[in-house]
Amino acid sequence: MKYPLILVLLAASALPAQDIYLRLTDYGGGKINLVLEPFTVEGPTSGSDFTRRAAVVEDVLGNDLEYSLYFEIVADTTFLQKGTEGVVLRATAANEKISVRLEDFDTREKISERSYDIEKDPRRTAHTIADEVIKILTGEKGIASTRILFSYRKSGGKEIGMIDYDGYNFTRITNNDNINLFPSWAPDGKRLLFSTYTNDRLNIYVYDISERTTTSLSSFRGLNFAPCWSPDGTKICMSLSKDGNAEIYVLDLETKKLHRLTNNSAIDTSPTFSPNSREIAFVSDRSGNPQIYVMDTHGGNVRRMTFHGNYNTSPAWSPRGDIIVYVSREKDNSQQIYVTDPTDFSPMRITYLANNEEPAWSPDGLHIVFTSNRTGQYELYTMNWDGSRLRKLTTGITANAPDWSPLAE
Amino acid sequence: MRYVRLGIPIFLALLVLIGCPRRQVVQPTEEVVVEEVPEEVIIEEPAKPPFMVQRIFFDFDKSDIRADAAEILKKNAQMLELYPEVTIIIEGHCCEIGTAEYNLALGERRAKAAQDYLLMLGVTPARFSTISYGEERPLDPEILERNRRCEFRSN
Repeated sequence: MKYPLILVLLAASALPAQDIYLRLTDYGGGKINLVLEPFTVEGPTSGSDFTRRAAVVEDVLGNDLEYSLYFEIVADTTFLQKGTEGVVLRATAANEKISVRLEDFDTREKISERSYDIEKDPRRTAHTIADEVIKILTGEKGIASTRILFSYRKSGGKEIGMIDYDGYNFTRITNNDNINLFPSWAPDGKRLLFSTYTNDRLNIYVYDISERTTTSLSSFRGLNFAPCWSPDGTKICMSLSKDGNAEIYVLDLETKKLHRLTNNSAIDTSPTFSPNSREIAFVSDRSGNPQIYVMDTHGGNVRRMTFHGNYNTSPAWSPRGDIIVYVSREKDNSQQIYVTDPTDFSPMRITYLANNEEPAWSPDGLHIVFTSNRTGQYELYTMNWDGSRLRKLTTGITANAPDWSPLAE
Repeated sequence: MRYVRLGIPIFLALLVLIGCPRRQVVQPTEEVVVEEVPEEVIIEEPAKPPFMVQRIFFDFDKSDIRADAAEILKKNAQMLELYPEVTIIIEGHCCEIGTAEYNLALGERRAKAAQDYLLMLGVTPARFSTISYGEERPLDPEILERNRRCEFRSN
């Protein structure tokens, strides 16, 4: 297992930036000690709307920073000895603004100080501050402002919805009483691909979130499904059954040409790009049951990835490139999530309770969103890449097919 | 049947009006009704059985036509022979185990397997189209076996 590569990547990518305060040298052990001082709220009396919003910022900011995995939140500074590396975050809220100051724990020297307007939705303000604090202290882009698309059951069909990465702010994307499937982000974070039935055919469409427009992308005879945009934005891969059974195709968005990548009587589906957009992991039952394979974007150099278990599906390539997460059917018939190295096959099971399916990566490659029926119905959860720190995102709806947005530009 | 129901009271009323002055006993009511019914049934009896095709079931992750499904498909083919004007959409369905995308492809494979079997029995290809709903339209969410199936919908 080459998981230490994550740490190396974290550290390496943090090095070149200019305003990095502390360098991550280890995963977990090398977290930055962060002291979150209680916010000072000036002006309006307690119980006012401003006080309430300031309290939301404080609460959400703390959650964001802790969830990011870059920090060890220090609740009690009496245990921090003089000379310990650490950062103190002080914030003062006054006149619809919040001023956030970062200083060195030991010397009390200022690292940065910035003022933000407290928005009508204070969660947004908190997410913005969290991502900036992460940028200043680690050089990494935070995921606090990212969102998650998913499909959910509604009156016999399925609609597509969107939530913030922490489960708040549910937004409807489709509302057409149809079966809407496979929402998948465009790398610009402004559009998405999805499939829906039109005239007894399953077609692929592009939806523009701010314009609220739907454009047809693929409507060949049969099934047009499982679309996925390449991270470099130049290609879209998908499954088409126009030749009689599901085959994987790549649409080159520059030349508008469609290239067929698989050619056999087996099912070939669930294509997903590698982060460098040069390879595609996919599911095929060419061996007699579904297994995960990898090929290049021209359809060559095909190699089988999974050899344990007779039902392996749902591959998703980590944005850092060193892990593929997938789902395996166990001997007890439950579906469980595994992570493996794409070059040196070495699977590690990371879920155990009930069924756990449809994993998708956070854009920083440190978290996984997935579906689980551990409450009796399929709902969305997130966990760290190693299966730790479970967080439930949805309640009361049957949700599936999550896809985590790219980083905001 | 509506005519029969309406007809009985009217007929009885007529009987009362016409029959009563001659005979005081209104005995033959029951018999008269019985005489009316067979006439109606003969008129309504169809020349052939009503159009009905049955769904078939599959094993987990399989699209082979099982022996029980083959029997049903033979009956369905006979029905299609009786109704040459009917075209049908064969819907492939799956249980919820596995991914939505794999199940869509598997549902399509099941629909095509059913279509191929009907073609083998001599039904004309132009009368079919296939569609897969994968795991999206379960017959019974509680019983997985009931969802691994093909439905035949007349178009």
